[in-house]
Amino acid sequence: MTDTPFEQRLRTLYAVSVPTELDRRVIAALTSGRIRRSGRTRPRILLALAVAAILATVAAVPAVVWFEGWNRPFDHLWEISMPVDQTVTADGYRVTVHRAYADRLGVRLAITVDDLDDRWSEFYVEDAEVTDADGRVYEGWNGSGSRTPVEGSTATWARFLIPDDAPGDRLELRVTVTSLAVRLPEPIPEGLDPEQIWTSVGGAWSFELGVPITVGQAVSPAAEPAGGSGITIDLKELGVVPSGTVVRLAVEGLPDVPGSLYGWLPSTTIEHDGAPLSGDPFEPGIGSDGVVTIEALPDVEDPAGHWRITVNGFYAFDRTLGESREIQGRWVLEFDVAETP
Amino acid sequence: MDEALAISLAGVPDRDDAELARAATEDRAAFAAIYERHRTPVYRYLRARTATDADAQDLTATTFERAMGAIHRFQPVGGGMVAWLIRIARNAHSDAQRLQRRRGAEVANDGAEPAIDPSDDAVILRSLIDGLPREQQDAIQLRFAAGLTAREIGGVLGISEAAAQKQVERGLQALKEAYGDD
Repeated sequence: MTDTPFEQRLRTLYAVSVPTELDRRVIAALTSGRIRRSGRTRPRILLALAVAAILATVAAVPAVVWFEGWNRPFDHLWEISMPVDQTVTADGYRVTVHRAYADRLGVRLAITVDDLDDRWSEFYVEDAEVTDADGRVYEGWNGSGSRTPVEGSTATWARFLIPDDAPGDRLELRVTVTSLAVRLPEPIPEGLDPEQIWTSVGGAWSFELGVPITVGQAVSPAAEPAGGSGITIDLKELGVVPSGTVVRLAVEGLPDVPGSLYGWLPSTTIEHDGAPLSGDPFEPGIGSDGVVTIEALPDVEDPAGHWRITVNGFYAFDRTLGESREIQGRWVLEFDVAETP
Repeated sequence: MDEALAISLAGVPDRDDAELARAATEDRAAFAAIYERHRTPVYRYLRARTATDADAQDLTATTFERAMGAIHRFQPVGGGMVAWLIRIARNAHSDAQRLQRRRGAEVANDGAEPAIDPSDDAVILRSLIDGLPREQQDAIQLRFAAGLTAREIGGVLGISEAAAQKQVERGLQALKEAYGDD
């Protein structure tokens, strides 16, 4: 398809050349050392365990400023989360859990870190562990955060998956931030190995908090399974919670991709009453039970109405062979959800 | 470009992004090829969202520095390498905005200073783009500054290809109406 004159005008508006000065900067960084696979050194465990001091206090910074204006899936969590406001200071790092929220899409925690000694040019929460009173482990899945400190502080929204056998109403959690990623102060020495620019600081900044689980609605509407290319897709569940919409699909007939880290990733299109929702896998790949959970955003308040879920294909990257694999097709599930009386 | 890298680049121009990303975990020339291939969309996208050339250069350098450190985590899904890089660029830009907001400085918004040609036409178009809803503004900048396809735009924004195309079309329609180009 060719551009219209108006579209050409827009392209021209943005058609700037990359300054050679920028090339020089990036190439200088590249030539200063070899990039290694590990990407980052393992955390050093410092003295944090011994000197950690829990200070249950109101956060020192106006945290809401940090946590406004985030991209999905963290865009309105501040409003629906509960205040925690616990701070642990150790080794010159003040870690604060400001807010917490939990529903079937995971436990979300709003965390800031302050570098009290102003040692690094950038830093953020690199790793954290969450367990409950019965020893269940809540695996960390993803987070979104800032890295550039302001008044010594950066912020992160972290998400952890809730185990299948976790209590259904309230979680009693122990949260331990175990690692901070830190970047050398400016100016970065010329010729430094890039791997030494970002390193990790290990520690144990621990918090104990109770978080109620928001249940939301779940329905299992009848939808005709979609078949094609030897693959069958069946709707298991549609769920609506305040932080998003969940679609669970059972997939049968996909070939194995043993060289792939995550297996097959479906590409989906989801529409509710004609309005498009994004449809990314909640966890990458299809589980061992053959079920993939899709997180659809923006969230819908009420599942009632007409739904159309289209799987446009499956993609995988075979690391053993070093090549992408793709199964193209079109599997469509359509169904209606009645209004709740 | 550095002569040694330019020479080594000659051997990799036809490799695909996934292969380059895998090689880049061990080989700086492969990462240089990624930079060479994708620097223009990343820079143009950031230039569209910042007030000065210097800001765009800083954020582009930050983007590729972060990408270099995370290249071993790259997966060729969700719009591929260019979408992955633009997502990093968006995060770097968001960081910079938060930094300015927390410092009490005025956020470097789009259009604070004409980026390209300070003719009336360019200034008018940029101010109209600035006035679009955020989703449409994003889609327009990703399509016309970064030159992304609908699929790649979807990969950046976390929406489907069809939804990305709709955002571009809605943004275009709104711009045309406001600009008086029917």
